Amino acid sequence: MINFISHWILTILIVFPLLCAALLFVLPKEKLGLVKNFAFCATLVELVFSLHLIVYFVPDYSHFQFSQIMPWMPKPMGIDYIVGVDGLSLILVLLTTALCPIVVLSSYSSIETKVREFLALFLFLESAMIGALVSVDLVLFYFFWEAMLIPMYFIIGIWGGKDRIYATTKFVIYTVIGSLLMLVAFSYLYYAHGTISGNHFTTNLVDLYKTAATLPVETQLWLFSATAIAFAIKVPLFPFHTWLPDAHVQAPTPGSVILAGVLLKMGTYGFLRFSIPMFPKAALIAAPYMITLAVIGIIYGALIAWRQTDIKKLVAYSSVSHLGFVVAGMFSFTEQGMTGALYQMVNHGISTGALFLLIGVIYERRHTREMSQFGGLAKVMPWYAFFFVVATMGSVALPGTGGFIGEWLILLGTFKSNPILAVIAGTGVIFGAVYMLWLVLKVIWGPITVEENKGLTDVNFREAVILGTLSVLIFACGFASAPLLEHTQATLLSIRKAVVMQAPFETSLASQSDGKLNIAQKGQ
Amino acid sequence: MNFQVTLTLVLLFPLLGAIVNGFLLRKAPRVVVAIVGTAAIAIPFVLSCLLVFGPVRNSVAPIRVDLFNWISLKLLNGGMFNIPFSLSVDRLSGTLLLIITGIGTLIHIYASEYMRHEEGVYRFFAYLNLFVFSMLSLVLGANMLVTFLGWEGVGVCSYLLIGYWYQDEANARAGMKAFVANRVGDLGFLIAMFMCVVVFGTIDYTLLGERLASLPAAFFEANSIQITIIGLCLLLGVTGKSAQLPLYIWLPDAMAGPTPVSALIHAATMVTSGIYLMSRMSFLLVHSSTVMYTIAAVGAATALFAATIGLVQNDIKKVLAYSTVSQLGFMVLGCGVGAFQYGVAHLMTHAFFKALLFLGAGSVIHAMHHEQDIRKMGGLLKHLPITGWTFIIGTLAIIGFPGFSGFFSKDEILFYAWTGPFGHPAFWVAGALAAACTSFYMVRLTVLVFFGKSRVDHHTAEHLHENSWPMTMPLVILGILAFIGGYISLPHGIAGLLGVHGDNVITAWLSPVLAPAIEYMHEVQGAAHGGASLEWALMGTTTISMVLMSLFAIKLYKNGPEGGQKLANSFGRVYALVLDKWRIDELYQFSVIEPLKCLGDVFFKWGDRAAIEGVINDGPKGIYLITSVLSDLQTGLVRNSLKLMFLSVVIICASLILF
Repeated sequence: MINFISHWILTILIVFPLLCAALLFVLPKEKLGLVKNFAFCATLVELVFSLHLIVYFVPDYSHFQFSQIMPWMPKPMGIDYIVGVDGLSLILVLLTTALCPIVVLSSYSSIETKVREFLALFLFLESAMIGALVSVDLVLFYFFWEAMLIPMYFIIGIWGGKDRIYATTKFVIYTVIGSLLMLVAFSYLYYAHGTISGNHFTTNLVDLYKTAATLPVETQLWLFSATAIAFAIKVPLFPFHTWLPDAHVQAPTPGSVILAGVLLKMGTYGFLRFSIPMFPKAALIAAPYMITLAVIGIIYGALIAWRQTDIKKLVAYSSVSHLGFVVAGMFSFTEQGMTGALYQMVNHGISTGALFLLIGVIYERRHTREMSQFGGLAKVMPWYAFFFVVATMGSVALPGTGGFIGEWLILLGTFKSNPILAVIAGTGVIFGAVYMLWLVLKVIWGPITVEENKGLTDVNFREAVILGTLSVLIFACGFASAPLLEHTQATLLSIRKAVVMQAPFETSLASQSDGKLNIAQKGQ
Repeated sequence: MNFQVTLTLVLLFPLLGAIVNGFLLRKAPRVVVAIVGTAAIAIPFVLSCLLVFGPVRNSVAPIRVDLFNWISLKLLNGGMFNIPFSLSVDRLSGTLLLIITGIGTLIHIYASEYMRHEEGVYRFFAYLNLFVFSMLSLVLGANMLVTFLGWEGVGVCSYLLIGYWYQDEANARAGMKAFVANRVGDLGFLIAMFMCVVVFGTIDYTLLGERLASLPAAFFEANSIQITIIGLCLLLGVTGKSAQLPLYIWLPDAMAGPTPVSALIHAATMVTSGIYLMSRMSFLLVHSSTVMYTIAAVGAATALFAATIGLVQNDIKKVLAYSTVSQLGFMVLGCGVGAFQYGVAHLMTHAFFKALLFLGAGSVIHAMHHEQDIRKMGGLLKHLPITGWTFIIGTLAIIGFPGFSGFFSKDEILFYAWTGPFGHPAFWVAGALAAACTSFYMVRLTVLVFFGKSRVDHHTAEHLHENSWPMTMPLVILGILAFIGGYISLPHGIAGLLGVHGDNVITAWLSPVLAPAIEYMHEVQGAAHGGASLEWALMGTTTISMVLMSLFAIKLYKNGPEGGQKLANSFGRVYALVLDKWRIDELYQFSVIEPLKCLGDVFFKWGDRAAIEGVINDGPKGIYLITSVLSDLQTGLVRNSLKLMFLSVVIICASLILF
């Protein structure tokens, strides 16, 4: 039985939310509570399913595990349904499945119209996100990558704020332009592989890693740039970030949370999964430029965040700054930097997710996000103030929170490869405190200046559960970093090896049976 | 009980107290909150005594406990990068442990009375317990990362406690200022940590010490720049946390917090963590004379600079705040000239007398219904006898009246400032001048508050009475300690008169910890130059100046503040400048904060909105236009997306033909 589950688990994780999304339409439309609870349970069950991965994952093994291959398109095209997880995707799959129930729970009050449609789109989005993370086939990945856009487009476009159409159009166009470049690169690689291997075409990532790394440096640089721009837009890396503040400000709360929590990580994940291990020679050459852009983004995003008066825009720009750290860390090509980058993806998802939820809480009560409309909330909403301060501490990477471990490792790794840039990035730690504490000062502390705020009610039970869970996670990640990162080490090490040794990234498709790995299994 | 378990419990009790107070006792009666909060510190105090006077005294090696693996990375070379969450206690951290938990207990008792009129006092005790937890992890950390957890943790607690009365935005702003200024210093600590990883491959104190001891001289020559940078970065951290030039600006504003907080955090413990860090890393700092001289110069300059501001302040807590900055300068000076043990000794005596002075000030403020202006006090000794007499003891201690604790520790620092391995007569001059200023402003403060005619307004005067025992008992205990605490650092000259030979208590006690640094300094710089006659001469000079300055202050202020005001006015603009604290805050505002704000605006308006948006926004617009030519605009974006994909296929085909 366990063998069977291990074989099918990834497919289950992809299909299950989709199935539930379809089932939502069977439920009676009037019974909103039932619809909401059903969607919530679906994401919870999905979370439980994903725990199977962590239980049976073999930590010291860098290759893809739980892999499954099914023929998809006609044989000579070499395009198959191949899924698998390694240390890189495992932790992000878990982040996704853990955040989704929280997001659904938050939508109970923030989504008031077309609830069923929203939840269906959201479950569809969860499928697409998991699919993109576990794809080991380029076409399959591209399929899910583009599929993520569709629900997000509607979520912002239908349930968003005043300028939602502009924001969502901008979001989609930016992403699609990037995807287009990525598709060009992938297609080139597909034909290059076919030519080199004698008309043996495949989109299997395992085989393409080997081909890509043997390409001449110049070609690698072109392909690296094409994919890097695609992922840089998604991250978003300075100067490709201007879609993000608009999208965040217009998106409804659940949309913002999932955008910051998971969708942005698809960009950084793309770097670690495709750009870097596929084109190690190019990655090494590009690294100083990437780190420079990242460091500019850290300072640039932080200073702009400081000057915002819209709370949501402030947090959106803080993401530009935080993700600069992630990119700097991974391109330092040190163990510390790369591990820190991966860990920071998770931590940023949790703490920024919490901040967007907190903004949602007051937005639902006051229908404004202007900083000047608040102040002194600690008096009327003490628990809210508590959660706000905790999320802030997570965001400014206070020791004891997960963000600290991530940022510390990133800065250490960057320092090893480029001390000057690391010190400049380090000033981002100071600016981070400035804009976040400024936000807290203006929203939480001080006297209550606006009459309407005197009657505000504190967080209700549902909100307390959501924020409490995230608060616990913020601190748990700060102390349990060693066991949490254990599973990621082997894969990150082999990516680093590919870059440092300038050798192809070694991986294969393994599957679990009887608690052991079958390593022999290979693509084709 | 197992020592490791004891050590862990010392750390865990305050954390537990914070959690219980913060979450479970929100609605509990004030007494319960106070008892839980105090017990969470008192129990660790007892355990600390067992530890320090037992195993720590008996062993040279630190007692160590590895709690769990905090960071564990695999390296490509097959090795591991491990940072355990480890605690260790030796004689240095043991000393701090006793000060933190001991004075912490007294201040918790005091606060239970001081804060009795506050609503939601659970919050106060939760923060205070959390602070002690952070402070303990700072001193008990066996590596720099655990210390850094405490280092930033105390910063956050300080932030929360300064802004405890958050409904006044000024308080919250003061908290934020403290946090940000500390963060600037923390960046220095971070870089120092990274440098240690790169240069020495470890951030564990014991391992660092061993590695440094075993490395050949050639290594230090090759890496002298790196070691200097580590030292200077650590110094930056120290200037942030221990309120030295140029980052001291947050401490005077931190007085916005409740007075027990000022006593515990901004006098006795948190602000002294810089001195702890320097003593802990002494074996490394002494390898760079540049670093040592810089530390000494920063300390001497801060001691004198802050003392000048203290001369003219009229807020009872502000005088004490600048006095704290100045006294911390003395400690830093002590460390910088190579007399780490006297830096620690002064840390301890200062913890006694400054906590005493702050608690005394709190007692006055409490009795005066939150009046803090010393010009509106006077003659309070007869109304507040216990507060008054203990405050006088504190004053005698801080001005270095012979026989009181400050006399011994301060004079040892001044002696070493001249004669120490990195000493220089100029350091002594700055220190002696600062000491003279100290005598003046402290006597001025005491006279204006407790002597002369009462200038208290009628309404307040009617209710004036001594506070109850939870507030006076800590004063008495601290008064005793402030009197006798100095005998641990008995100068050689006096010890010789008394027939005691050999090292004084603090030197002998800390010798296992400081031995590597002291031996190295001895090797390179030779023994301290200057004998007993110089010591007597220096001591005599400072004592005479102390007496003269005190008499001058008494003469000037015995009839109220007018006499002093007349003198001050004759200085004109210089007085105005000093009264305005040399306008350093304005300087920072003008030269750092405003330009950065401006840069943020420029980035946003010109960078994001104009440049990037302008260029890139028109790109998508162009494509949007092309696609809209193909069909009408109302098709929605999914189809536009499809069109883009179609376009991309065209490009792929084109690229295939090209290649």
